[in-house]
Order: sequence, then C-alpha cells, then structure tokens
Amino acid sequence: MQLPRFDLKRPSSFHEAVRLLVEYGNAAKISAGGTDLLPRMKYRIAAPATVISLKRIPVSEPFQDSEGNLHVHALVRLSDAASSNLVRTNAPALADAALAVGSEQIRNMGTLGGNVCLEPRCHYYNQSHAYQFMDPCFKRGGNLCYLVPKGNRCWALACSDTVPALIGLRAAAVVQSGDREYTIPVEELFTGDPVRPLCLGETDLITDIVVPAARPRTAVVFRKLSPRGGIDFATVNCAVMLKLSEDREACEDAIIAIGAVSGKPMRAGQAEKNLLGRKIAPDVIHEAAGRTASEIRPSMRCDCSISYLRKCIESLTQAALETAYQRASSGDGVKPD
Amino acid sequence: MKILVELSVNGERFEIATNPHATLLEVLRNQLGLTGAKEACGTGECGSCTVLADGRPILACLALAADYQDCEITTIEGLQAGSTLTPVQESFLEKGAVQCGFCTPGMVLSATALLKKNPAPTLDQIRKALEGNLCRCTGYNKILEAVRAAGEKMSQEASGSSGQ
Amino acid sequence: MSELDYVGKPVLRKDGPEKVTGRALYTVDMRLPGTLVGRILRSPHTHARIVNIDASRAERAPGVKAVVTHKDSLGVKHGFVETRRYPADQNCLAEDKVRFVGEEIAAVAAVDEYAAEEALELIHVEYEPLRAVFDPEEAMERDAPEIHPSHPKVREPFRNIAGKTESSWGDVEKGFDDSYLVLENRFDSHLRTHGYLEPQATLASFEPAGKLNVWTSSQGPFIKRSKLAKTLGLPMSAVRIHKAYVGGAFGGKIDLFGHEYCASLLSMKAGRPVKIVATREEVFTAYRHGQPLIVHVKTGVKKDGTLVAQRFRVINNCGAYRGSGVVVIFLAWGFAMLPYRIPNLEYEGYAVYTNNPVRAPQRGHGAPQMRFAVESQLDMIAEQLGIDPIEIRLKNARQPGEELPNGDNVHNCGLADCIRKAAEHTEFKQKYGKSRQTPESAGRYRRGIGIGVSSYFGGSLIYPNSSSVVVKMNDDGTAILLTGAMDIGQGAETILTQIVAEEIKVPVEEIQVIAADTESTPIDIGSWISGNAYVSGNAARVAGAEVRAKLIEIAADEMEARQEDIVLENKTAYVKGSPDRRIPYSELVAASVRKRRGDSIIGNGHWRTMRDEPHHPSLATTKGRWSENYAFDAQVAEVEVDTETGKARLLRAVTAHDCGFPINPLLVEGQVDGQVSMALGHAFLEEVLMKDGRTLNPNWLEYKMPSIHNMAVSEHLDVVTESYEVGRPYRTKEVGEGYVSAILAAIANAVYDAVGVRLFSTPFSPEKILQALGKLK
Repeated sequence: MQLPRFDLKRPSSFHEAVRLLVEYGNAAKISAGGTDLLPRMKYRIAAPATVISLKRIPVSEPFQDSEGNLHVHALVRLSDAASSNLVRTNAPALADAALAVGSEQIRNMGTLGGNVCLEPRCHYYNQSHAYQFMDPCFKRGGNLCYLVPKGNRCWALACSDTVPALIGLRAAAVVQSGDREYTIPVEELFTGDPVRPLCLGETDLITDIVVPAARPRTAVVFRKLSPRGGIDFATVNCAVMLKLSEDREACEDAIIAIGAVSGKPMRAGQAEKNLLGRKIAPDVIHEAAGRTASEIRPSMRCDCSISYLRKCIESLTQAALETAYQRASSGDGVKPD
Repeated sequence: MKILVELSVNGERFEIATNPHATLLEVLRNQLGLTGAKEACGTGECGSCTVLADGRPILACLALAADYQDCEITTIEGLQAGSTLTPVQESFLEKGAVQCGFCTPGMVLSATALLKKNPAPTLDQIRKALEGNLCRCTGYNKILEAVRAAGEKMSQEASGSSGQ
Repeated sequence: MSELDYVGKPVLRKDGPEKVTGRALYTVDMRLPGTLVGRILRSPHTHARIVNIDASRAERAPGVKAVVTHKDSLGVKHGFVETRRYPADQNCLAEDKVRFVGEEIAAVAAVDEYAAEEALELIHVEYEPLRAVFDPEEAMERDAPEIHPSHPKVREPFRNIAGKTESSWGDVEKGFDDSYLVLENRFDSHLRTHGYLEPQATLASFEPAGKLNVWTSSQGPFIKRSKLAKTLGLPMSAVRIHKAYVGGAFGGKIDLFGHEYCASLLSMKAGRPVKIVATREEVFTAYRHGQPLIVHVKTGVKKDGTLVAQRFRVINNCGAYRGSGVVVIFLAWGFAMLPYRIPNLEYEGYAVYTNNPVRAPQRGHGAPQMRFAVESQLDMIAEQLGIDPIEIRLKNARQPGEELPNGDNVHNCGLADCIRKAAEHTEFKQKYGKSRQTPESAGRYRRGIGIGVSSYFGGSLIYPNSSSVVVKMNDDGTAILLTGAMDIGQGAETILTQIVAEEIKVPVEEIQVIAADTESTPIDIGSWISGNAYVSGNAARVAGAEVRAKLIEIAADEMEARQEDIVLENKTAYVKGSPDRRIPYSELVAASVRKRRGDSIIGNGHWRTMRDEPHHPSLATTKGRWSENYAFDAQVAEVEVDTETGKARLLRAVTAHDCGFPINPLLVEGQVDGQVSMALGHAFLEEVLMKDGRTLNPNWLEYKMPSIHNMAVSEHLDVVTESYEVGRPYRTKEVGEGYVSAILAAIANAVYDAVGVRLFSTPFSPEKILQALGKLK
C-alpha cells in the first residue's frame, strides 16, 4: 500500500515545526510517530501536500520539577513513557495507559503527544473509499453519516488510551503557539466534535504534558476493555482518581473519566459528586459504577449495542474504583501494579 | 522530487535516492532487495513488516525511510553471523513455530528484541512483546514455546561463555 | 514391520531454515525486469447494469501500458464447479452486469502504483443500479430481485437458487413417530474469513514466443493452470505456473481469481511482466470469505439416546456467483452423516445467490457449521434424557468397518476411542455440570466443559484427481523428489520427503525436493481437499518403492546375495547379518548405470483415491462414493466465562484424534493447534461485519483474528489406527481441516455448561452472552 505523494519537512525543534505549520497552513499535517496519520494517508482519507515529521526533534527524558510535577515530553515514545521509572512511580495510570496502546511496535513508534491527538475513529471512515462508501461523510468533508443515516453530525469515537488517564491525573498540556506558549488542562483539549476534535489552533503543537505532583491517599487507576487484549483500540476505557480523607475511609475527591465511547472522553460528573464525602464501601462503589453507566451516553457504533457498552462501562468503572480504593487506602496510592 | 536518504541497515551504510513518501519497508524491499520483511496489511496491524530500529521492533510499513536515518536498522537478513542460525531462529525451527512462514521474520525479530532486553521473560511478557505480530497458522502455542526455549538457550550460552 | 527411521518422527521442516532467515521467496517478493504494476477497477454497486465502459482516457494516460475490460477477454466464464449441472457462471471481467461490490470491471498495467491508481480513476463506467438482496432467506422469496435465474432443475418456487443437494435414506417420518424424544432447532453461523497473511498476489509474464509464466499465491498450481488456460484461450502447455512460497491459504486460494486472470491478460497485452498484489482491504472487501449456513435440524432419539431419525434443511448464502456454494451444501450433508449412525435421514441444502461477494471453501468447508448444530442439539437431547454427553456419543459413534449409506467404509475408524480418551484425559464426567450446580454467589467467573466430535474426508475426486511423484537417485547416493504438491505451510514437502526417505533409506536432509511447478514436476491433487498426505503420500511411497526395488536388485547382484536378504540403511546396502560389509548407494548407482544399460535409478509413483470410482459423487443427489478414508476426532473444550463482561475464553482444548499414521507428529500438532486457534476465533472473536453488501471492518484492527493473547492450551492425544509398512499402502488420514469443527461444537457446549444458557448462533460474543444471561437492559 503506497502513501500518496507529499513533500516532507523535518524540523529539528518545535519552534521550527510551528513556523512550518504557519507557512503551509491547512496543506500540512504533523506526523509524530506516524502510526495514526500514515494509515489514514494510505487509505487516502488524509492527503496533505506536506508532512511535517517531528522525528528529528530531540526528546528529553521525563523529569520532576521542584514542586514534584512530572514533565513528560510530548514526543516521548509510548514504550518509553510506559517503562520510565519516574512515570511508573508518579503516574502509574499513565504508564499503564501507554502500555495498553496498540502493540510493542506501535508503542515504539507512537508518541504520547500523538496519542493525545489521536484522530477519532469510525468503521466507515477508517478505510479507503475507492469502491465502498464513496460519498464523503461528515468527517471527510461531506454531509452524511453512514452510521446514522438521518443524523446531522459525525459519530466517530475518541479512542485514545492515555487521555482518560491524563484526565484522571489532572494533567495539563503545554502548547507552543507561534512564539507563545500556554498551558491547558488535557480535559479541555477536546471539542467533542469528531470532525474537529481538538481545541488547539491550527498552528499549535503540544510540546509537553505536565502531571501534577502525586497527592497523599490518592490513587489514579486506568483500565481498558478490548476484544483481544492487544492491538485493539478500546471498546471502553476508563480512568478513575480517588482521594481519601485522612482516616482513609471517605472520598475526598474523585474523577471518573470514560473513553472510546463518544467524540471525546467523558466525565461522570454526577457519579463523582455523589462519591464526595461518602464512606467507601462495596455498595458505594457499585452505586458509583451504576451511576456512571447511566450518565455516560455512549455513541452508536456498528459492532455492539449501547446497552452492552453501558454494561462494559459499569464493570470497568467498578473494577477501577475497587483498585483505586485499595491503593489509596493502603497508603502508597501512587505505586504501580 | 527524489531525496537522498542515508540508511544504516544490517551494519552497512546505504545512500539511496528515493521519494519523500517512501516507507522504510518500500526502500528495504524494493531498493535494497531485502524482502524478508513482508507487507501483509500495510497499515500497522499485523507485524509482518517488523524490523528493529536501534534494537527496538518497529513497523517498517508505517515508517518513513527519511525518518530512520539516524538509527541502526536490523532486518531478518541481518540477524545471523555467517550461516549459523541464531538461538531464536533455531528454536523456532525446532519447536515447530514455523508453518507458512510469512509472519516468521517479524516474529523472530520481535522475539530477538525481547530476549536481548530480558532473557528470561514470563509468559505474559512474551505475550506483551509479541502482541503486535499476528500468526494465522500456529495458534501461537509453539511460538511461545520457541521464545522460551530460545531464552534458555541464550542464558546458557551467556553463562557458558562467561564461565570460560 | 521393519524399523522406521524417518516416518513417525518429528523431523524438522525442510523449508524451515529458508523461512526463519527471511530467504523464502513468496509471490509478493517476486520481480522480473520491467515488471508493471497492475490494479483492478471494482464495482461500487451491489447490483447494477453496466451501460457503458469508457477506458479510452485511461489508455492514453502517462505511464499506462495496458487496460483490459470484458471486451479484451474471450468471454469464457469460470466457476469453482464447472459441470453440466453447474456450468461456470462468473465472468473474469464483468460484462453487462455487476452483482457485488468489488466485482472486477477493468484492470490496468502501468509503470508504477501511482500511474495505475490514477488510470483507474480515468475509466468511466456508467451504471444503472438495480435492486439488491443480501439475506439468503429474503433472496429466496418470490418478489426478491433476481440475481441469476433459479437453477432449472430446482422445482420449488424459490428465487435465486444456485443449486440444491438432496439426499435421504430410511423413513424419516416413521423414525420421528418411533422416537421417544424429538427436538427441532435452528442454528446460525456467521461470516468469517481465512486470514492468510500473504495477500492474494500474482506475477504474470507472457513471452513473445507464446508462453505465459505465472507465479501466484495458491493451493496447487495445476488447477490454476487449467483455469487460466481455459479462460485465456491458451493451450495448457502454454501456461506454466512456477513455484513460490505461499503465505497461508486455508481454502481461500484455490480457484481462479480476478487478479490472476487480469495480470495474465494485461501481460499478454502489454508484452511485459505484470504484478498484481491485492491490498488487505481488497482481500477483505472483494475476495472470498467462508460460508455462513442456516441449519435447521430435527432429531428423533430413543429413550436411551440412540439416534433414530434426523432431518436437515441447510441454507447457504453463497454470494453473487456459485463459487463453492454448491459444494458446501453437498459437504454439509457429508459432515452431518459421518460420525454417528443415523438410520433414517433426510437432507436438503440450498445454495442461494445474494449480492454479496463470492464465497470460497474455508478450512472445514461446512463442517464447523454442521457440527456446531448437531453437537449442540445432541447435548440438549442428552440433558433432557438424563444421559451424559460422553455416553450418548459413544452409543451413536460409528464403529470400525462400518459402511456409510453412500457405500464408503470408515475402515479402522477410531472415533469411540477418541471419545473415551478425550473424556478420561479431561476428567470430563467429574467436571461436567458442576458449574451450573453452584450458586450465582460463587463469583463472576464460571467454568464449563464441553465435547464435540467430527469426521473429515481425506481426498476425493476433483481435478486433477490424482498425484504422481518421481524419485531419482543422484550419483552420490542422495536423491531428488519431484512432486507437484504445494507446501502452504502444512509441511507437504517435508512429509513427502519423509515417506521417500523411509522407502529408500536416504536421510531427509539428503533428499532435495523440487515442487509445485507445472512443467518440471508431475501432476498433483493439490493442497485443498485434504488429500495431500494420503494421495500424494502414496504416490511418493510408490515412487520410493520402485527406487528401493532397483537398489535392492543391483545390491543383490553386486554382493552376490538373494534380494530378500538385502538390507538398506542410511544410503548403504548390506546382507542381512553382515552389517560390516556395506556398499554405498553411490556405488550402486554407478553399478546400475554400468550394468543396466544406463539406468541411473528413477522411480515413478502415482495414486488416485477410490481406484474403481469413475468420478466425484453427485453434488445434487450425493450418489456415488466420496472418499476412501475418513479421519475422526473428539475434542473437549474447557472455557471460562466472565458473567460480568460476557467475555468467554477457551482455556484448554484437548484433541483426541485418529489421523491414521502420523507421519510427522510435530507437524500434526501444528495443524491441530492452528485449528484450535481458528475455532476459538470463530467462537469468540471473528466476524466480517457487512451492511448491505459492503464490508465494515476490512482490516485486522477491526476483524479480530486471535492474537497471542487469545491462545488456549492445546493438548493432543493420538489414536493411531494405522501403521506404516514399507512398500505397502496405508491410510494416512487427514489432519489439516477436520479439527476446526468438533472444537467449535465443544466450545458451544462448554459455554452452556458454564452459564446454563444455550447459544444458537455464532459467534459467542460478550454481548450475546450477556444478552442470554439477561444482563443487558
């Protein structure tokens, strides 16, 4: 399978990359690891005139600043993120999520930033259209949806594994925008519209991910459900953060983030709120999982039903909450599995 | 317009005029004649095109040739020294881990990379390392056995040579 | 029996070193100077009339060297089956109609992929869309759109009937009347695909002198030669299929395919080599998958579980052309009647045209679907009668020497032994039913055990019907084996070498194999009707035996001994009792040349199954003999079901099987393991998702072929019912596709045993299991 023709730019810094983005505008696409963009280019769903490859930009090792915040370079390979001792110790959920992506080879190529910016996916969209589904759908610039023929929007799914983990960790992205740099919580990066999934400007690039210092009595846990346990994108993934009170019994803070079931990762806000101040017990966890499953509204998809997805959300959330409680209450809530 | 790409493959340096959109797999197969890496899907799902970049398995079908100039590429053709099979190759053969053989180069390379890093992997570690290599013939049982056996063989060889 | 040196041993594959070093060249690796890239234009419509095809702009496009459409063809149709009853029904390039998305319309050859791709866009095709139908039962209805006229010999008022198989014996109605219990159920199977790693690929090079050279990823070169010659209008002798390694096939690379025809025709037109490699997406969307069957089965039994009567109605969604759709409805009958005695049986099977891609054989070719139905229902019957699953199977299992209703004989059938061994080894009776007796509070994970049995034929009479083998000695006492057999990964070359090695006592490593070339090797039955070990194996044995006889004769001469006293061993001959005085084969060959007027010692062997049978049994009536050996197996599955997520997995598969004489135990195990894996994919993971004739998951990300995370422990128990005797025919049975079936049935029964709900359709997806457990709102 051949890539379409393009011109290749290989900047050696983010500054240079942003300059190139300004110069080429819409006609250019960024390739970090290439594992998301190149298949789409082979399918001819993406055909940029210029590809800006970030492979030459030097990647710094993850480090902790004086306040204990963990800085992870956006171009760190997912396998390096997963095996980094700093990441494993300070943000095990991120390490677990990075390790859950694709396969060994994908993780050796794909980057953390690339996974955060993963293009939403759909059975109808992620294939070539030489003789199947030829009319362009919303995501290909047309105005129809094959999945929901009477619908007026795109239903592609945001499938990143690392994003829910980063939301659970309350991580932020450092963005290079022209000569300026700004920081934005990872959760706020997403529009919810699969056609234009990112809130970033067209010439913005994520350069770093910053994970705030781990807090006491707190655990963040990532879980993924997929048919095969490897290679697959998640059917559902989930990250939960649980902070316990000083007596380690009641919930002081909680995040439940569910990914892969809609156009952006979803928070179960009501379930979270309902946990606050309550003494954690099996029935409370069960209730929270149930609430999560009823408040998250999974999008339609063609390989399983919504009621099945709800069931998956429930059991996955339950498992994640159980583990999080165990870890947070055992005192070393930040240690990996 | 062609670009000049300098690649280091199996210990040899090559200067190749190729397209900016050429994948590493295309250059290896079509320009260097190294057809051991296969294209079974072309979109990164099966691992048949696996090669090692600085010892780490990558998908040559999703790698731009121009992006891999600063590392050492190892293909299946570059594993052996002379005509002796490596312990991984030998074990694949002895344990019956080879049938049609189309996934074999990728499997052997993924396994080699794993064992270099971790000569005594657990079954789960082997599975994790080989999860990106699809095989339709063997059901993976004999592949798993072969990787284990190769690890043992390599450990023995290592301890044997260090004892001398 | 003399001592065996080479057969029955886990000899390493002959092609192993080439494969582990990446040196093995597959069709996708082949290149000739000046090779053009071929691409195929495919139909975007499920059903449409072609009003006009204008390829003139493509012909003029830069870099384009040839364009072909139906007009360039001879209009000769092809089909998997080409008989008087079932004539070929598919054009190589669509003429006036397209009947499925992906059907071949035109092909181009250009200097590179880009030029070829751009040329395809320049071909203008005007269509007039027609109403389409995708479901076989809908397609049978009177008001369904007509894809092809119903078969003229089918009397029922159904539309779109591609073919029908009918068979019966005894009196089924009376059988049901006499039965203590009668059950009637419907079982549905789903669409799966082969998943061969090497995509479909062909390199064709037409020489000016008129010879067409072809390298193609196939399951046997001779059927390809025959079909290419016929459709291209070339004498068979003008088509040569060369050997290339094959990266898996599983039934999906037998017949003539569009890319093979197009690459050849384009090469003839352009005068240059043309290579077409299908993309994985093309393989998924436009090539042939397996065949989902709808199986209605009604069974009557006595109170003690003895089968009295069985009635089957099978409907096959065979796609837009016949493909092997009319074969699978014949085979479904066979796989229904093989393992158990059924005194009264009625069978009808319909192959129904729909606007889906054409179907192919897929490992097991109907057996998994049929065994899933029969074995599931048998467990339901056993439960209602209060008999355990082992006993009901033992009661009905065919015994050695039984004659089948079609006149075949099961000979040394080891089925009952297989059932017993599998049950004992797994402690089946102790485990069965336990999970359903434990309370729900016992936890979310449930384990279950189930059994299934199956039987598969080893070789039948389909072109080329027979195999021949040549063995010739080299001056140095080594040998060369020439065979048309195609090694598709199963190890054909290795086992044929072992057989020859045994006959002539030359080590396996010292026998060179030349294989799978229509010009330099003799004809071979092909690696696709499970006849390789038996048919080609016997041909190899006969060829070896002839060499052996010549070696003994000349050795006796040289050593002045009686022929019956000559012993052959490791490339030497000696007189019984005096192993110290040996003559090496090199000297025997030299002596033969000197004394036998130049005879350098060559042996020929040939074999055909069922020597007195004129041809394959009738696909319509099942009359006539089918095969002369049948392999049998019993498989036990142990599964675990997560009742929270619905995810089930196969923990352990135990295969007790009678494959006759296992020539190479390592390769036999490899076949069993591969089939267990394919069956667990079938049961839990894989499905080609289609909507209105279009494929939703044309890639391995979304088509969930098992990964290394999804393997099961696979154990093998040999029930060896045949010995190998040098120089004498023997029944090596089949081992390559019979074991995808019983294990699927066993998994279905194990899932029931685990959670107490019966699933009547595959796959047993998490969603379906949760649904059945009433856990989805």
